[in-house]
Amino acid sequence: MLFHSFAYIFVLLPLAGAGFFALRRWSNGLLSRYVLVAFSLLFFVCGGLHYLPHLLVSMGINYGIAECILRSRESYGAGIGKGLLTGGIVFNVLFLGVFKYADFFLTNFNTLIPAEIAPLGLIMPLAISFYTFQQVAYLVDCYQGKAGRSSLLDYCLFITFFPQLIAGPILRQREVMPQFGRALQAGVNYQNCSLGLLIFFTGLVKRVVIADTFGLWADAGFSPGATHTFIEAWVSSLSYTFQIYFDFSGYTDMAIGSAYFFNIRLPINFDSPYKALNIQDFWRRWHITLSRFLRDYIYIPLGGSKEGEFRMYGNLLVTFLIGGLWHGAGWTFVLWGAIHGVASVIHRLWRSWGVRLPALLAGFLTFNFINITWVFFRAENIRDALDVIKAMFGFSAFSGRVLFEGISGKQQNFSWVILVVAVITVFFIKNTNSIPERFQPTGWRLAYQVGIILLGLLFLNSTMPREFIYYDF
Amino acid sequence: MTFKAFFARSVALSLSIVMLVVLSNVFMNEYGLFGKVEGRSIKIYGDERTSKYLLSFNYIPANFDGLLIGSSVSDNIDSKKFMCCRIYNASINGATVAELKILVYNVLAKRDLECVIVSLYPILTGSNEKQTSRMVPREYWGTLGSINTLDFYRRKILIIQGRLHDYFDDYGRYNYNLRKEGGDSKGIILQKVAVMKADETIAIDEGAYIELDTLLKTLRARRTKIFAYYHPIPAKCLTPYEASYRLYQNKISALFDSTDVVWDYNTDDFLDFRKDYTNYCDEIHLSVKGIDYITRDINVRLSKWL
Repeated sequence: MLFHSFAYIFVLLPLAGAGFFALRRWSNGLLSRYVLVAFSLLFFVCGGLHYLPHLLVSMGINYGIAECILRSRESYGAGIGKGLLTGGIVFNVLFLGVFKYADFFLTNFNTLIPAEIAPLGLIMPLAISFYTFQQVAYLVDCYQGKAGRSSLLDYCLFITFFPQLIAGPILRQREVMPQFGRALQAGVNYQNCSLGLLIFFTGLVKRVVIADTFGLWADAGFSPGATHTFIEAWVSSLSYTFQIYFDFSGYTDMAIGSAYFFNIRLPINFDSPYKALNIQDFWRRWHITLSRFLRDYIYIPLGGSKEGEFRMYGNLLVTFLIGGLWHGAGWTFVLWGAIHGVASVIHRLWRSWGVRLPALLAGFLTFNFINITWVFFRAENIRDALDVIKAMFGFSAFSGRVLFEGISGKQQNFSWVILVVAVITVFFIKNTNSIPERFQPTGWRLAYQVGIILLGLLFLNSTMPREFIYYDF
Repeated sequence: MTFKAFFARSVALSLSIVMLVVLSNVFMNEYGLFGKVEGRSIKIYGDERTSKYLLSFNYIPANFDGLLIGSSVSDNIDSKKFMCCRIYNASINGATVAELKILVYNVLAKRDLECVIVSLYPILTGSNEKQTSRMVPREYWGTLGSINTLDFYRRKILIIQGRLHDYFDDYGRYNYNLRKEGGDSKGIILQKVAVMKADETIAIDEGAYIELDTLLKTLRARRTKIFAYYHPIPAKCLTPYEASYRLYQNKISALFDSTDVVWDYNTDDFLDFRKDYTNYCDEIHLSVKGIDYITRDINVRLSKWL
């Protein structure tokens, strides 16, 4: 099920919220948790019932391993259970590898050898990248004593809690599970409900009004076989740069807003990333929970920065390569990760030389670097990406009409308005993370909130429902 | 204001406005989607594809006994002049079978049709793609309040104020002659011929071909009388690719059986018509004079059979 659907907004979310709080006094909140898991699974199967077995198998095995790790830790102390942890990680890597990467590796293997091994043709299960990473984090946390034991029901709730199930944020057990007990005790909190409403619909507007508008241009610009002039190439890349930000941050807002209704605060995932002044800053602001995972469960275990400068650079590269590959089974993603890795290494070197750029120049360079690298992320293949980049720097022709002739004049005019809104939103105003701290129940706020809700619903009823970009990962 | 009051008012106010908008649109019923619409006369003010798609749910089945389907070449046929029965011109500018079949099936879901007239021109089977993403059931609910609805009202007001041309009538006719008439059709045709290649071929998309076949079979199964005609192509334009055009015709004609009535305006019988530039407003679309002649001819043929 999509967040930006009437079924979610008017049926699933209200019913889940009502069920969760209505049953909180029975069996010490046990029924409420069952209700929430049931609604979460319902939310999940709306995306395809055939994805459910993968989720259940993954959860079952990970829960079993985590229990074993925790028990051995309780019985024999810290450090015991390394084999179990290794087994758990291997299982998850294989699980992800088989369902997400097998055909990618087989295709490349066939080209390299050359061999004729038939691709497996497996369909990538919905949300596999997210729930696998979340469970790997849980296993490591269990091993390190940072996560406590939980019942199977609570574990299911932790993994399947529907606001975060499909595309994150990637959670840690200790930051979310204690909240459920408190949430049930507190009952319906209208401050949280009001906040949830505003954050959710702000995300909806970001998604259906802004991201979809840029999506029109990006789709045309990155259509297979498209050739670009200078203007077209820049319009295409910038459109995608804005589209992916508003798409994914809009999604995250909807996830965070939904969780607010249950008195649950999910971690923030975006913090005005295009205001970043360097690549490291960008990754502290973009998909924060993924960056956190990569740092804590890959970069630091590899040795981080503690084993010498060269090792650190190597660790950075490996981390970003894995990050790139996590986004998709394709060379474009690998290259995108590699470029970000190299940029991070260069940034570290630059920092060690102690040279500082003026903030405006640093921001300009960082934004353009991000914009150019998104081309690899979006393009169908490396050749297409290079074609776009060549046109961006080729100054070959300045016309920008051919590629976008499918976009009507009306849509073009509207896009100008959206562009202004997007630029102001991205670069000049506070982001949605600051809503809770300045939220007051005033008349003006009420008018603004109703306006945002109506705008979101109007566009929701107007456009084709497109899946979130991060559904593919 | 307490947070409880704030939340309650946010929800209540939003829902009230939504309900108001929805009820207003149901009341206006601009596409005849809700309730009984027999006898109503609904014109098109918005996007042609979306509008005809929406009208096919209720308005067309409630008020018409037959359909004329085709691309822009038949879009300006005044089907009000057909005397045999009430025929809605469901032609769409640049339409493919993939789009037209949606309209026909929508109507068939509500009622049987007495007849369907198919205007045959290569674009119909040149692709099996839809030219729009808006011919989807979601658009049905979009009429209750969406960007398209806003655009519809904007256009309607401009048309009523006379600031936009009123191209469509309540029988689906798109009278583009209002803006195309009076052009140099001879010049346009000769220009077109000059750029035509000698070995020009006409592609028939396999999927579209099958779709057309299925559509015709469905109509026959529902005892709908099928009429089909090959749109008259200016003689000068036809000559360079006549061989290919005849191949196209042969393949398309194979889809029709003896119960159907098929005729061709590209035979020598109509050579004089096709040679006369004044019958065209550009290289393919018919002028007021041309469309009047074709409309009368179709009317005579329909009267003979219905």
